[in-house]
Amino acid sequence: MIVIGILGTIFSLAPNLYKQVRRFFFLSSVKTELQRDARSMMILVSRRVRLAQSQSLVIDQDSSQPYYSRLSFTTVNGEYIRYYQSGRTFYMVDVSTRILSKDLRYVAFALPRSDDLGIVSVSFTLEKAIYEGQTKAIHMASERVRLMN
Amino acid sequence: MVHITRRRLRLSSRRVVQPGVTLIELMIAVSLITVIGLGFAGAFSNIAKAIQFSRAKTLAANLAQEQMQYVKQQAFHRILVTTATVYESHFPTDLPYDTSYYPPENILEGGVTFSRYTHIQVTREDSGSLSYFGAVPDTGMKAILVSVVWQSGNEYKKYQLRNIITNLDTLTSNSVLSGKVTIFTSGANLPGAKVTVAENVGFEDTSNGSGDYSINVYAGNYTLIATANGFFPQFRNVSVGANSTAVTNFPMLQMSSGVVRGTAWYNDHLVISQVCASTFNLTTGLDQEYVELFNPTTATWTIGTGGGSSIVRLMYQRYADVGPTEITMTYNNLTVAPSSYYLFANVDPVVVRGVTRAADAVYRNTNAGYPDIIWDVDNNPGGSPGGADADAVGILLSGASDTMDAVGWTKNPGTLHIPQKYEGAAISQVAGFQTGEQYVRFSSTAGVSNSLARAYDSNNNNVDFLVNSSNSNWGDIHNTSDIQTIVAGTPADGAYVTVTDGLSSVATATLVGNPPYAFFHLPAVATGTWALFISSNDRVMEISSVTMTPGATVYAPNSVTVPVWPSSNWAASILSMRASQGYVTGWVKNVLAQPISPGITLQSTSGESTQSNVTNGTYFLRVATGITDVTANPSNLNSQYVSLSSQSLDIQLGQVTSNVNFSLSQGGRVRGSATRDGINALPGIAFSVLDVNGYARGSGVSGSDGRFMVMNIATGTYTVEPILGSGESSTPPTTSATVSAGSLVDVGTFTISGSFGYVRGNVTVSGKAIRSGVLVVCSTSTLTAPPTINAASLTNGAIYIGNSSEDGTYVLNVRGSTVPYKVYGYYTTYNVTTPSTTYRSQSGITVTAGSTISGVNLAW
Repeated sequence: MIVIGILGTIFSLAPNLYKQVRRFFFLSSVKTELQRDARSMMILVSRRVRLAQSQSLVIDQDSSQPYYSRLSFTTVNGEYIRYYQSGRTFYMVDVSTRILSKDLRYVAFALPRSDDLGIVSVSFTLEKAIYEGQTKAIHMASERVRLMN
Repeated sequence: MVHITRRRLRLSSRRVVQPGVTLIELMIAVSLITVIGLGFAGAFSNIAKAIQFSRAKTLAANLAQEQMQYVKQQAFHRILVTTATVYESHFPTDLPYDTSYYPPENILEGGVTFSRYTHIQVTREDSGSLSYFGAVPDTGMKAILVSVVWQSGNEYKKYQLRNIITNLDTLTSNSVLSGKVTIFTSGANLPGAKVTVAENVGFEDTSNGSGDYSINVYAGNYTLIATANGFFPQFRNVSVGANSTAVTNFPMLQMSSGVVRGTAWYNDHLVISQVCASTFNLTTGLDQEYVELFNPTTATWTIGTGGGSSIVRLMYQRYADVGPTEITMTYNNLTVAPSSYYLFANVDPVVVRGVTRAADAVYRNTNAGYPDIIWDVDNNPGGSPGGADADAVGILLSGASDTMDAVGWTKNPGTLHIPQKYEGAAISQVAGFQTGEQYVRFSSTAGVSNSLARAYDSNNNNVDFLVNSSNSNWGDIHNTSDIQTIVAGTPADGAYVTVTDGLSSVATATLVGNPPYAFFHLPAVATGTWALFISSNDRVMEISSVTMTPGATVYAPNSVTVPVWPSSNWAASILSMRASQGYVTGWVKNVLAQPISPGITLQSTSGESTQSNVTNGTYFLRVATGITDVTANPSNLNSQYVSLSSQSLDIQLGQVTSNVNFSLSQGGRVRGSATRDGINALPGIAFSVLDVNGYARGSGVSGSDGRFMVMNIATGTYTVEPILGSGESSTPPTTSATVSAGSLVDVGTFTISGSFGYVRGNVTVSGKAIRSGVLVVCSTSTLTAPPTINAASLTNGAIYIGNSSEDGTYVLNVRGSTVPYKVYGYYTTYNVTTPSTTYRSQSGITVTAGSTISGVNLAW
């Protein structure tokens, strides 16, 4: 009876324990993944934005997309660059179109003051649902970028 | 039938031997699983921590880089130098930061709360490396330090970025002040001397191996100061034209010197000053025994409580005992005062050789073997030989595991017995403790004195005690009513000894002699009157008024020092004061090398202050340990002189940081005010005071009343101008100010148009903060939707755009306006991948320049 009791206890606790451990590690890895994606996106955006000619800067949005979710400009090298949101996907367009993230929750390109095209504020949030849709990992990043031209 | 029965029996037999899981097997399996599980859990926990740390560090690096970029984006003169440094002290090296111009920020990102600190200093290249200064006149270079701090569990972590920014518009320092620093008497080159421009201490150089120095400046008139340890400082007035070099040599005159000597002792605990195992009381017929303690510290010690509990326990251990036994007491006195004795005895009073002394604590008769507890040869428990053996007494603080002091003695009747407790070497005895014998602690290395305290403690029983049975030399018995002068203690071997003369080096006290004592010898102490500091571990002693004459050897303390020697001709420094601070010494003089009268105030970051000596300019400042700044003439308390700071001094407990010197030039203050309309105050506007060459000599920021004050401006003529941002303008754009010593020049009112204020609020959905971000737009116009932003939109009325943060708050920087603003928030939600944006707004938000409008909340 004792043996059966112990085995019963172990088998009744094991699934829940397994679920919690799995959930914990999944959440950790997704958070890390989101942070890594956010950082690489920020680098890709800010590196190009610094090279932008301020007079070429346009901030608007694609049709039916959130306000100020599209940024386009021409760099000092003459490259035409565009970043934009479409649904939950964030794109970068230069010589080709690339997907930078499919976990986009929020993006906004903004001039802190519309009468000064010298500084662009870039802010985005990545979000990913995990574990049976009950929890969401979220990561927000923002940076002010100085235009050099 | 028989066949069937046999078959069943075989089957039954098989069931019996069928192997199964026994309880023991199961328990072992469960234990193994638990061990493995715990191992995995521990490993996973560590991995999770490492991942978390890595994530947090990356975020901290981003935050530091962002702030660095933000600061560097400003015009050089808008980067305001930190005037009042505060330190974050959770790290071995404190982190400096600014609380006024760049206040600390708490930022929630990635679920971690980061604190971001900024610190700006003036910097200047000196002999190949950078020197950092506080609020000194501009050198054309500033150092920016951004520190990001966060907590990981109970541990604090940090990420730091340091960067240098230069003023591209600064005038070229195309003139050179150069020369050679030599020793006047020998003509030899003097390397390591510091040559500083008094008018701007940011201009400095250190003489190289050939004694040469070179400082790039712009054309003008300067005062050069040369300083070197052991030499009198020298001052020279020099003029240099554009594109030319002015050569100024400094033949430095060495200070005369002498020698300081003395002994250092460390007293931090009670000592057993006398033990007697048996002396016969003719009156009572009792075999008396007693243990005498002495308190060489500056604290009063509690020996027992009113309830009869012991705090300082008297312990006794015979040679054959497994462990020590406490001798319990009935207390007549509960405490022992500094420099006083305490008497434990088996009888009250104790009468020895006609002298009667009251016992401070009396053995209880419940002690085993009472009244003869400490055995001597008269004790004869098992017949011959006598009971005396290699025994020990000790004092043990209640709750402590090791004795505070112990005395042990040997017995060597052919076979050496060593006691189980003693210090260094036990008192060497042949027959053990004898009747009528006393062990008396030395008063000094010279032996026992009945007029000096028995405090000598080299931690060697066989050296520290006199074994006495002679009537003529019988040592007195003391109790709490007796106070004696201390001339010794534990030799403070390795104690640091320094003098505030600015010439001598730090010396170390070392053990010499037998019995040993800690002797210090400081050569090359400059002539004059100085303070001497001795520190060892956490104890310190300060001896001031140590007067040195050329070629003299002075013992300290002596009859004229403060304090004087403890007893005539005893140059004994007793380190019984617990150090709680460190010390900073140096001098403050004017640019003519004269001490300033009245004395100049010197103040540390933590608020400790002192005044410089009006006779020789020296000062001595006690400061809290850690990183600190010392400021001479803070807030221009003496309005005739400028204020200077020496930054980031690392102050150690009980140690002296010397040669923190200041040369103050004369100066005054400039004040004015900023308004947004000629009437209403405008806070937060930075003003710069520029000299004729365009160098910023000081800066200030207008306060809530619109007034600004720029202190610490050397005499001369200056231009005062507001440091404006894009879109801001000032009337008048600049004004001039002529500063004389001690003057307060009012430059009037600047009316600034186009300045900014702030709108703050939070964004919520169903009462909870929105963590994913909301676009916030502020405009004086009504917006049906945010307009496209491009170069063409610059011609329209400005709108101000921002994002809410991860904590659901937002701040918008908007230009002051008499027309009320409308604030819009745009919040996007998704139906799978299809976004839907809704907005909320608030109107009638009037923002005046310099003001902050809070509570503009947007709720969904």
